[in-house]
Amino acid sequence: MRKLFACLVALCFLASALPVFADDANVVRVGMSYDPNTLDYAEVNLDSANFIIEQTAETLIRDAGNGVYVPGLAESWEKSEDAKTWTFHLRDGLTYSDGETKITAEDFRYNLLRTIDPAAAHGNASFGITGSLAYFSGEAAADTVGVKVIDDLTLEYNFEYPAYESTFTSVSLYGALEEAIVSQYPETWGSSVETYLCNGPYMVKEWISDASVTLVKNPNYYNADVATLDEIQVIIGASGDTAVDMILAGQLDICDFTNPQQLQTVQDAGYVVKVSYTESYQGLNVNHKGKTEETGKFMGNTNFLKALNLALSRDNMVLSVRKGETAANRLTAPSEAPYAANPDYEAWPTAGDPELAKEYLNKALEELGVTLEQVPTFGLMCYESQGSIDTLAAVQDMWRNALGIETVIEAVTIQDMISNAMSGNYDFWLGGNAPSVPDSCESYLSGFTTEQYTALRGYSNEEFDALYKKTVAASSLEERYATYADLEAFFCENVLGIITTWTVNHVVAPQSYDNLYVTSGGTLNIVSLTK
Amino acid sequence: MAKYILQKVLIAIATVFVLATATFFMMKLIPGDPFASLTTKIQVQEKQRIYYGLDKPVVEQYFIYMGNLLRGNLGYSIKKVGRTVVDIIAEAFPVSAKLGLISFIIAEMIGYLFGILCAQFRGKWPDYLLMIFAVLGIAMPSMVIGPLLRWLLGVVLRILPVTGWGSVQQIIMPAFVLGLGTIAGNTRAMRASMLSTMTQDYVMTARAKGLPLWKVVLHHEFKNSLVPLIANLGPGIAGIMMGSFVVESMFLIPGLGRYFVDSITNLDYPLIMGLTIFYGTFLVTLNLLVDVLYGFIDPRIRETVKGAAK
Repeated sequence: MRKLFACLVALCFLASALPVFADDANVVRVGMSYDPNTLDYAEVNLDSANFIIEQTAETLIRDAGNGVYVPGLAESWEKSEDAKTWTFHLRDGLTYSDGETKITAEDFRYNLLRTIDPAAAHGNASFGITGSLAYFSGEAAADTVGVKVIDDLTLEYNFEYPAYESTFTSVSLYGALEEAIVSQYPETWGSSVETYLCNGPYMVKEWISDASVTLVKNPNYYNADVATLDEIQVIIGASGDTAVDMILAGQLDICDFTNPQQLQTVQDAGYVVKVSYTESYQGLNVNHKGKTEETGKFMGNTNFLKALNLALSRDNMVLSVRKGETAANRLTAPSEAPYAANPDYEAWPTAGDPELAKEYLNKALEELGVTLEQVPTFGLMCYESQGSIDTLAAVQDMWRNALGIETVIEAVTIQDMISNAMSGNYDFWLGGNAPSVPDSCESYLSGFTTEQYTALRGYSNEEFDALYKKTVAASSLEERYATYADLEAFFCENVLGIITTWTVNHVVAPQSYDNLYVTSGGTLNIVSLTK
Repeated sequence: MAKYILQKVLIAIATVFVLATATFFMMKLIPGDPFASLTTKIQVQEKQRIYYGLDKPVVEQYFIYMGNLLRGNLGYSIKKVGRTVVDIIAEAFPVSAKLGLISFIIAEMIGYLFGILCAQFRGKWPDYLLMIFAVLGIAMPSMVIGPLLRWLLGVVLRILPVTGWGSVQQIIMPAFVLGLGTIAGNTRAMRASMLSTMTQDYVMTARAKGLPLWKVVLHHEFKNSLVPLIANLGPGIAGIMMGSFVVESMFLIPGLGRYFVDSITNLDYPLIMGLTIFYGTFLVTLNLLVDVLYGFIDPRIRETVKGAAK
């Protein structure tokens, strides 16, 4: 036994004599939760893929952070007075990362038409361009879609509603794609280093599925000097406690955290928060038609929903079941652009107001002609994770104590949750939504319009429809955000959804790191990072 | 012997066929839809179902799948866009297999050694000590022992990297964590088997003849104690080589383990089917090899087969 023990000790010493990790001066290691799965512009949807795209692909206009948009592959552009027609002038001499294939206006048209190709059913298909939905539905030809190549360096887009600079930062719709290579490898071009031609400051050197992606400088980028790092290593799976251990062991440089304990541990180790942004707004989705006819009667009553909303103490939730999150007092999170246009708005007190809640409940009961005893039990649906169940248990407790309303928690699988949500088979459902650019209209609020009515929300209101239309029809962001404030107020005051907290993501890095930022879409940019 | 092997091969093929059929229909019973999404446009979701043939009746989907399977086509993954199931398995399996095999060899050697020591020192302190280790090894899940080791050896002592894959140093911790349960199980099994063998007449005779202890232990006790343990080798190797979701996620190893969980969470039908068929085939093949190996190691089985042939 002694000999065996001695051998083990010797082995440990041997191992410690070997280098555990490299400390290369101009290499940065970034932690990401998941493998990108694909870099196909028409399909990317994970944070890791968005991060890689952000460093390796450029769009017509570039998001430079803090709401600033600068020329990207287009050196200039003009827009019509109603902001529905945009004409772009590309930089001359642009090439892809192979240094040979030229980027032309046709590549942008091809990319857009490919993403909305009716035969392919790509996940990122979106229909803001005129004629795009008709084309996708097979009712119109490709040449009816509102994208026109004027010449090799000029192209024009036509939109159903006004567009903004931020619109053109989406690579799925406004990136450039070389048709020859995609036609040659239609299924695999975005999942192989050999076929992934890019046009950003960096390019992909190596991709080990579910392990790492290595980016190096793209010498053929039109402004190659902007890339300051020799290598960016994206480490897949490095998140949570694993990322903490890696940082403490010196194996990781940049990572993001939402968990306050993990954040504190890495801060104690000398890392600092470089940028924070709202990752999602959490809360209870409301099915305004109710899961059953019986519950639907109450779910469609605004005063009843107001009572439930005011009975919640977001402050207590943040202290107990939603640690590390921020108590929400309105729909729009502080890091979203419309917030700055209306910073003083407070839709409800984060501490709740049980007395006022009771008043609204009594009004609701009077309107519905029932007594408290006749109020049915409502379902609270969530994904079967302990955190979600704890959150709903807190909601259940607050509603019971403040109002005497009974609920039952329905913890289901993720598949059941999505399926139930989409078919309207729920009363309240705990879930989050990611903030969007330029605001939450198209990504979230559109779901409450009569035009896009689904069983998911079960909501329809003419006043809301009018406000929504007015907002998306605004030809400037200033005008849009002014109307958006009314739309948001309508959402909050009529309790279209019960927003409880904002999840804030903190990007940490060593103190000396500089020049990193998060785009409006929530993607980290480290193109010009200095160490 | 050839007839015996042929019989086993035919049973193995039938097993894989039944497995594939049962998995296909059970998979379709899982509630949900791989394309149901709250962010993708409804029109796109509908098209995606058509694109992947999920709008067809389940029986028709089954025949299409089995037809493709016979041609060796396991299809494209739904979530890992642009990658075939064969590509995914071909890339991830060697990683899991390497880790699993190293872990298995170490676990077998240590487990058997500990089992022999326990039996030889029965009722004395080495026996108690090693049995405590065995009980702990079985009782402590890898999700507990893994982070503990990672913190101790990677963060505090900094003698091993906390995560990653490729170097010898990066294999040590995950191999140990992965094999701990096997070490513990083998220690207990070998101890029990050795204790049973040690009371046999031929062992008593060998000892009475005055053979050196190591010869008695290795040639008579160990060899004969091994026979009942061989039956577990097939499933043991197959299980450990297929990867572990927990260990691979914890140490960031790009193996097959995580796909077994992710494919079901994501309802990635082609990947679920591909992995099940691959695992099933691998397991059945190893069991077949063990059956054949048994025939060579245990003369009684060889004789039974010969007798049946006559």
